[in-house]
Amino acid sequence: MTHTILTLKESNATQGRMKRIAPAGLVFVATALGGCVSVSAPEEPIVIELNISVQQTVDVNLQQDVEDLIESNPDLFPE
Amino acid sequence: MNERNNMTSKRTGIFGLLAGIAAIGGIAAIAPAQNSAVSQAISQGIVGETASGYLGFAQTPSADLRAQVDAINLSRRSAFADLAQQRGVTRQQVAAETACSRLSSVPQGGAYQLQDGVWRTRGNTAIPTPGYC
Repeated sequence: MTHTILTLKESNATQGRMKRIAPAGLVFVATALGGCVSVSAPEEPIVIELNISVQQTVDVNLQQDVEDLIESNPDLFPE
Repeated sequence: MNERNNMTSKRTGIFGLLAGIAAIGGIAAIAPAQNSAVSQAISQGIVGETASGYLGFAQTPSADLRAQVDAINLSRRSAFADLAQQRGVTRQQVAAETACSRLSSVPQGGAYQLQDGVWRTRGNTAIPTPGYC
């Protein structure tokens, strides 16, 4: 019961705010539309960062395996 | 998800390494007598590590030395291939990673060859690591 009342109040408040902002900020929103388009940009760098971090862990693991290979085979890697 | 992948690859890596070591064992058993001659050639700057992950000749070797170094390089190639297969990377990637490690531990006075193909002798300073390291 309490939840229903709270939810209703919240949605009312949100709708009220949007109605007030929309007419006033319409021109600004239109002029700043170029900036709004760049919303897709933050998504790509995040994906690229993830790929790099995966690649780095693979490299680190390979590096460790190579070190093990060298240490285990002194005949193949004479000093 | 990353952690799970890492764990899987780590596990297969260890098994691969063990399999690789077992496979190399047969070849490596021949090596001990050769080692001293190759080690001596390395300390003399005749033989050195290259950016390819294999040993190379900074100076013209004797036929015997050449044969010994060639045998080591063949064994390395086989070891690289085994590790590469287990890790799902190319043999060249393993060889490159090996080169990174070996070039960073060339002793002072030791010969080494970077990607430009020029043989140099290491002085007091560290060897500049190849770009792929």
